[in-house]
Amino acid sequence: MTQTADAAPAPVGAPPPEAHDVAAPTSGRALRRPVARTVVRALVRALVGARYGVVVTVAVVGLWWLVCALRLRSAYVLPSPGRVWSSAVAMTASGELAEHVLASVGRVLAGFAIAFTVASAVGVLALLRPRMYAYLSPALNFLRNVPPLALIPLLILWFGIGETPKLVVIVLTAFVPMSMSITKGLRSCGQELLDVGTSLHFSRGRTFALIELPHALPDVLVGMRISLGYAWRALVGAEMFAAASGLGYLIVDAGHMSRADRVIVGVVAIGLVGVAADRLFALVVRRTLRWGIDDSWR
Amino acid sequence: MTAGAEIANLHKSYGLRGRAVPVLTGLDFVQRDGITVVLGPSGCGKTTLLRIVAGMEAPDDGVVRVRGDGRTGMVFQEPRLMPWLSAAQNVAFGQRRRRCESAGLLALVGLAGFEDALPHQLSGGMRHRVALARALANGPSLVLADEPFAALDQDTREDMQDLLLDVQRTTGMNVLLVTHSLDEALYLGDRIVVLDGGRIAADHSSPRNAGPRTREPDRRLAELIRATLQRKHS
Repeated sequence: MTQTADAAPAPVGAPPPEAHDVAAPTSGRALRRPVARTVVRALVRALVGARYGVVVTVAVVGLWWLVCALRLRSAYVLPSPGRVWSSAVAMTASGELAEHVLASVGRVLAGFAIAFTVASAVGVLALLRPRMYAYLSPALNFLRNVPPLALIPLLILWFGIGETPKLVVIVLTAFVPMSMSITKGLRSCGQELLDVGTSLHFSRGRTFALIELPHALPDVLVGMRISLGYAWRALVGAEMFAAASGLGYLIVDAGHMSRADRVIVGVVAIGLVGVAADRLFALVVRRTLRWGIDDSWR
Repeated sequence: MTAGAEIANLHKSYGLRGRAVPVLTGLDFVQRDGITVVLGPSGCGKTTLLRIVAGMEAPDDGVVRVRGDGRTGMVFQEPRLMPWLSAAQNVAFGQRRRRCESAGLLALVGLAGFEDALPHQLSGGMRHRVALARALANGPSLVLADEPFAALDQDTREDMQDLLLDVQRTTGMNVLLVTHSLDEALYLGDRIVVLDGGRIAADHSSPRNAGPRTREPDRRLAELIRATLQRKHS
């Protein structure tokens, strides 16, 4: 946006001469659109936007079909697209696929919520008690460089083969990027904005609530989005050990039974649910946040 | 006299590479009604003086008192609007102010109809108008302004200067404004205090309000102030 020049001094109350440079204020009505219409529009937009992705998908599936049709690989190793589709339909119809998806999503949401709570607490500590955070910082750096999946044997020894080790893996995976983003967001509020609070005689609490916290929101959301993807990927790894449900379990179990078609169904389901979760999160952010949104949220 | 700053024997230093660099050295000053302009070259301590009066920095020594009902507003060199708040919300920032009152203040600064616009949807001049409206939000009897128009192009700056004069006349508030622009000081100031070396080098009453508003500077006063500044630096 360029700075515009006013031709002559304007009297008090006169319309601003720079008005041509200004976007119309956002109407509140736009925010009250029915949710269903918004979701449908988003889906249509996603489909239109994904046309290049559709081309690649069709090419990959075509190549896959060709390899199977020419019997370049045995059906035991690489089942045909038709066979995988039939398995997917059967698993969907029986409710088996939904059961595994729900089990995985439930674990991710629980782990994600715990990771968000802990990461927020660490961020607030870094902002309000930087000296205490300095004690914690080396441990966090260490944690950042240890893949949580490497801890699974230890976690099983310590917590058994129940839900706890899976949850811990998700929490550790989601925590690291989220903690970094939240801490960065809370600590990066410039002195210029803080001075405004000082000039208005804000208390420490008001400065945090009215300036530092809203200022950190875009960074917090970026961290949450990255963590969501990380948590989803780590979950599947965690479910591959000692689980009785979830997409990770589905894949490992199918592998043990040499059912490559079910493995592929599980892999595709993981990818689709992950993409859907990411798009849904981005949609909610776009609809609620009016600033700090860049193209990566489109 | 109504609201204003009263300063006695004010000292302030900043640490630079392990040594103290004095910025204000025993400054005495009592603000009078109207617009008082503190003029001086960069680094002379103008902004430090204003930040101390605003309570944003503590002096090393001396007494600073703000006379009046304690209601002050602050205008910074940059608008410093909260980017996540609309223009009306920025005006009401940190205060229990109804939307209609914020809209009234926006209308006062010529921004009626832009209540819902976010800062990034406004031009630079408009953002400065919102910042001025925010400074007026608590009905201040004293407004502190730190080179508020320095970052604007000349036409917008002149427009904002006229706006400040209009608002000051309308509300009757007092203004303590710092600037390094002699022209701005001559146009806005009822009183011009020249600051140099951490002290007041000259103190002039300006005849600005005696006649019609004009951008033609008082040549005699301009020469007097220029001579003061040159004498200090020769």
